[in-house]
Amino acid sequence: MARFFSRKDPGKDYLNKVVIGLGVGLVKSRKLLNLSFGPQGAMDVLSVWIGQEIAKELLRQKKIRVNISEQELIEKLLEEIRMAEELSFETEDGKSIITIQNCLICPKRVGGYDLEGETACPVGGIIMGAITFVKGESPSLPNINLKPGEYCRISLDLAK
Amino acid sequence: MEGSNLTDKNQQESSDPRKVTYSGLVSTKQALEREKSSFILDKTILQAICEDGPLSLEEIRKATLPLEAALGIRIDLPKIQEIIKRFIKDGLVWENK
Repeated sequence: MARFFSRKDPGKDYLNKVVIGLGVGLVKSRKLLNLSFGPQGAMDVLSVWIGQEIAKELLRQKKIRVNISEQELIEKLLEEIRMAEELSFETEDGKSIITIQNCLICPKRVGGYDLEGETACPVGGIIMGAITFVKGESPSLPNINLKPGEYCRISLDLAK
Repeated sequence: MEGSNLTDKNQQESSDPRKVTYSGLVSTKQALEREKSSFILDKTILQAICEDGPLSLEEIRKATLPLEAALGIRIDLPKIQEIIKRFIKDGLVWENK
């Protein structure tokens, strides 16, 4: 198992706060906005675009290259946007399993909001958006399986 | 000989993925409640099957086209099949061969 830790950098906290605010805002306004797939569905769509924009900026700043592996890209996201304090990679049935621990953009855990039984996790969408932007038109779409809690488990098929 | 060819043909037809359809085993509301934290692609596929099933793979793919446009990502048949496989395993969807 490989483990990666995010470095503390309070100067980068504003992005985390933006994402937390977006998540809780979607939960609180879900009836008003009439979201077909709930706040998580709305967050999924928005966070894919956020992931694409972040990847675009990482490429522009030459912090990543288009031939970067999915695993390296996820490590870079962890480092640059402080997505989580800890991320671990394991291989299970030919798939790379990424476990997000101590997420730093969680409206519930970090923001301290009551999400009323809903979730609004942007991690899967950000990862999918970044991978698809960097890898081009036919990337291997990650299979995102969110199990909410202190330890969110996200399964990504990086086999292709 | 002719009978044997007929058996082969029947076997081919029953395993033809284009002839396979998928139905929901629970109501759309129950399915979406159980999959609340799933990615929007999974929920889109599940809703299509539970609400409008039985649906073929191609029909399910058509149901994902608006999402494909919303995400700006191409969603291919193998990806859809992979997600359906999980729903079958979890007892939410039935495969009609």
